[in-house]
Amino acid sequence: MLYTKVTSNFDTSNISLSRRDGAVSELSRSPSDFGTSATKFSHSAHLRTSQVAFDWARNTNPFQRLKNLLTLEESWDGYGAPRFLRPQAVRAFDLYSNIYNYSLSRRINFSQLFPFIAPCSNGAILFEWAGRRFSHRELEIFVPSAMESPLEFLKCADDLEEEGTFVADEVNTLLDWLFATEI
Amino acid sequence: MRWLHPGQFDWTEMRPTSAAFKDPYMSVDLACLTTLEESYERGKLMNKNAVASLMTEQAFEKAQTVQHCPTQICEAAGELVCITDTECRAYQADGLSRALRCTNSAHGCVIGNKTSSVARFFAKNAKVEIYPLN
Repeated sequence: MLYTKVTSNFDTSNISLSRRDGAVSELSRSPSDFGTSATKFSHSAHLRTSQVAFDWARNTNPFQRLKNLLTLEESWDGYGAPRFLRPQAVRAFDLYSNIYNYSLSRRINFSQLFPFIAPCSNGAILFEWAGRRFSHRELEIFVPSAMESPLEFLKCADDLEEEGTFVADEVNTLLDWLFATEI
Repeated sequence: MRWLHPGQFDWTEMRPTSAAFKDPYMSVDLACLTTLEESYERGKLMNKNAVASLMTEQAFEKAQTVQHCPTQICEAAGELVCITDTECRAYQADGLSRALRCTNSAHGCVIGNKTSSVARFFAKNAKVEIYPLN
C-alpha cells in the first residue's frame, strides 16, 4: 500500500526541529537560553510523508513515528480506529519537544531518553518508556484524541502504579522520576 | 484473540504495548467460536500479521465485560453495523431493519474503561500467539 503525499506545516513557536533524512539531525539554540526552561530552537518542522509505506516494524525514530501517524487511514487497526488529526499530532509534537528540551537541560543523551511511540486503538498516542531500557521504572504517557482532555500518565515501579493527568510543561517532573534510578 | 497493528508492537523486544488495549470497546475474536488460524486469516486481510490472546478472567479481573457481537456489514452501505450495544461507535439504531451480512461470527468486545493501568495489564499479560512477520 502506498501512502499519499501529505505536506503540512506546524506552528512550532516554542520549538522546532530540523530533520535530515527524517531524523532529528540538527538543532540550534541561543546560547543565552542554554539550561533554562525556555530553551528555544530555530527552525521549522514540516510534515512530509514519503511515497513509500512507513515501516512501523523497523523504524523506532519517535519523530518519524509521530509524523506518520497522520498517514494512518480510518480503521487502520482493522477494528474501526479513528484517524489521527493534525491538532492532536501538534500536541504530541509539543510534548516531544518538551522531552527533547529536557534531555538538553539535563545534559542527557537523547538516545537514552527517547520514547517508543505507538498509535492507540482509541485514537490516543502512546509515549512509552518501558522494557529492557527501563528495567526499574516505567512511564507511559497518552496524548488523547480529544483536545479538551488532559494528558495522561502511568508511572510503574516494582508493583506500584500511579496514574493521573498533567499538562505538557510538567513532563520534566515525570522524567525526573523515571530517571531517578536510571542515570 | 486480538490482532495487532505493527505500530502497536515493540519489535525490538517482541512484545505488544498498551496501545493495542486502550479501546473501551476492544474488539476480539472469541476463541471458543473460532480457531487461531481463522482469526489470523481474517487479520491478514486487514494487513495485520500478529495475533495476541487474553484470558476472559483477566478481563473480568479488571472489571470489564465480554460481549459476543458478531461483525455485521450493511449490504447497501458497506458499513459496519453494531446492533448489540447502543454505546458502541458502530451502533445503528435502524440496524435491524437493514440487510446485514455477518462477516465474523466470532467477534466480541471487551467493554469497559481502559485506564492506562488496565491497558498495561493487558499488554503485560497478553500472550502473543502469532508473532509478526519481519
